[in-house]
Amino acid sequence: MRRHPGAPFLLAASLLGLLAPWASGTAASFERTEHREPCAAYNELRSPFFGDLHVHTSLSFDANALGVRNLPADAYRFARGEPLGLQPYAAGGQPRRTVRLSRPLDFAAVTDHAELLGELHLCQTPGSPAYDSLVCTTYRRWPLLTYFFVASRMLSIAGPERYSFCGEEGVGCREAGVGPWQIIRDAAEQAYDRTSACTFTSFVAYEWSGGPGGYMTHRNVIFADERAPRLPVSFLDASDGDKLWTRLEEECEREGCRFVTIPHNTNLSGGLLFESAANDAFDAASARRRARHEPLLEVLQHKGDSECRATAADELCNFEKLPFARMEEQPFPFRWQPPGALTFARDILSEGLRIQRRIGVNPYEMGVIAATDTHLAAAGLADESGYPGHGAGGDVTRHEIPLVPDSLAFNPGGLAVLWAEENSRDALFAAIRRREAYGTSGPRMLVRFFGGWTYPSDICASTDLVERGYRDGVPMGGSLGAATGGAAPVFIVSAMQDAGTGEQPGTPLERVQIVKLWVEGDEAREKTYDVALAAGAEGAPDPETCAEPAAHGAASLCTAWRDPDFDGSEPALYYARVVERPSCRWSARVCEDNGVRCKDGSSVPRELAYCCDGSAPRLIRERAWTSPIFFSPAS
Amino acid sequence: MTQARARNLLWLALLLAAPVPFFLVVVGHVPVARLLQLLALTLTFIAVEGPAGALRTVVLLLVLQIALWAGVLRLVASLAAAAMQRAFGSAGLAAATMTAALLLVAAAATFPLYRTPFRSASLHATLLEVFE
Repeated sequence: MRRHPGAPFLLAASLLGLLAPWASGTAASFERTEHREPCAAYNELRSPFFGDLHVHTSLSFDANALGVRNLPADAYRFARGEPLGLQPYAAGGQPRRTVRLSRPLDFAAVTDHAELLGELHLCQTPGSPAYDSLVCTTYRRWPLLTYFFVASRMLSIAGPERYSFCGEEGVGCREAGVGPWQIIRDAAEQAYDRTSACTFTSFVAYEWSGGPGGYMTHRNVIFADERAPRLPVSFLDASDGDKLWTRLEEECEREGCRFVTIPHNTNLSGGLLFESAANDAFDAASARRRARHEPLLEVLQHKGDSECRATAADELCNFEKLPFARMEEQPFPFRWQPPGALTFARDILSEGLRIQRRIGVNPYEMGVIAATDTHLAAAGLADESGYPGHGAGGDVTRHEIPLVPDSLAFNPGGLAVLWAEENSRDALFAAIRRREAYGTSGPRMLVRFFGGWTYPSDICASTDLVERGYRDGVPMGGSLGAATGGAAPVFIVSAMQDAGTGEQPGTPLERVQIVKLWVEGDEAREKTYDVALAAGAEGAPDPETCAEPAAHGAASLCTAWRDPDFDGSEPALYYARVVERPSCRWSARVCEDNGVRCKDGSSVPRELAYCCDGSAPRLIRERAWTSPIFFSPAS
Repeated sequence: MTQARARNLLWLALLLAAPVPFFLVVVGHVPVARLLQLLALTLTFIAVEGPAGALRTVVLLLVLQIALWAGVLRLVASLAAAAMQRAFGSAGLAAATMTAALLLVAAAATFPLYRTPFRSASLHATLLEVFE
């Protein structure tokens, strides 16, 4: 292991390949399909692009019911660095809160719910056939109440039914969705930087939101370019993943579009997003189809972490876990149940290995990203500091600014990072497809992860680490073929802490881990290895004041690690987890911002009692998760 | 005025104006009469659009809370009527009851005593605004 204490950012950046756009060694991995200026900044060794592929605006029924007024164009302006006004609004229509990203995003996708897109439009359009209906009239007067009525009928149920005002077979409401869908598409087009500066990429996208039995079977659908179906395929049109992909395949055959789907909140899905190996649901063709359409999994967002079970032997799995397994259980603690099977990424990825062992193809060969799932249109606002809440399912913000901006179980969510040659739709979509992606819980740490058979143990000292990483192996998301000569694979992890900003410096790194999942017989196994540890990283901020300790931890960590327990006869996968030193969670920052001093009871308002009674975690270990590298034995 | 009639009058005033906490996914404080209005609305939804979704659960929650608070307020009204009977005698009971009921309603109509998360306008509302 080689450690770089202090701040040798130039060396580390060189190792990460950020300063070598002229280097050769990889061919462009994407096909140019767009009519646009070529990007001036092109890096064959790929650069990290930070973004958010899960953003809701007032076109989503739930956000709208909570008083959100921002539209897709506002979300993209915010993502590009402009300020964004948030509810509540003053009588004159001025927002009473404003937020702004400390650093703009490189890409984003507005993913409003496809369901109720038309209904909402009709209810808000005077003169529409539905405007004076009971549902619409009630919605305009009592939006939150009506949202509960409507959501329980159309979103949290196995067999959703449209309202009578939608007409025969719901055609009226389906067709009414064309207008808002065009707003989404136009906003994406206008935000996309087609100049050679390539400052920002947007994707046409939406969310398919199923809720059978109250479990969330949600997927974001991302289109490669401006071509998309005339209407988004919703849960009302296609009630499971298989039907969704079939409909999208048909639509895209007609429209010439390309798409991927990204499932999220597996922690609230009841395991319904994925098939168990025991169900024999796959043959090789259907497994390949699934892996092609669903290359990524969202592993963290505001509604919790979906990486691994808190009960696992891995202590760092106890991170941003929701205490309930269904959203509708949230208000009823006596009904809270532990999450079932196939609700965490590790379970799902392991299940994929078991299926692969049986049929030779892994349907769940997925990489990972994180996202915010903001319902305020605040794309990429994943900072613990100044968190305004996510705007749905949490506290009511239509009327007032709450002292505590969100339910304590929620968090600001995270970011997606794509390694691509340039910031264009073609390049980023290709990165999604090949899973060269990782997620972070908010900070912008830079992480490279390579796997190969011949990397030398001192490769971290090499200035051409990245070039050799690509040349002699595969990056995150890639697949390693069979071993030669019985050797074990070597994995390179190179990580740099978030450089932060002048006002908000980044937090040093504490450790790098590699998580290995494999099957033995038919049993799924997992093991977490600490592969790089920073000296003196045990320092943590004062939990009451959030004051940072003197510098601890490492600005960067790099290691080449060989699996000591490798068995070349079993499928396996490896992913890296890069962990920051502990820092203050958003909920603790609210305590600090409001002057709470636990020794002085008079400084503790009732809403902030959690600051002193231990009912909410005060510290967080921010982290990044890379997409796995998959190993397949010779068949 | 009899004590029973005084109790009934006070009970009606309390049902109309006393803020009681309620839970319907979110929490708030509204008069029982408002809960009755929500119940009527929910039943209308069921009549017009059918009972799909959580409407039956909403009806159950509302009925339970209405029954609970109606009972509690009835008890409060009984105790208040008895206390006024003792304090003012039969001769002064009518005036005392009317005054108490009018004061309660006037205060509720003047001050934003209620927390109404379902309204599209402000969260805190007066009695008239609750039923707007």
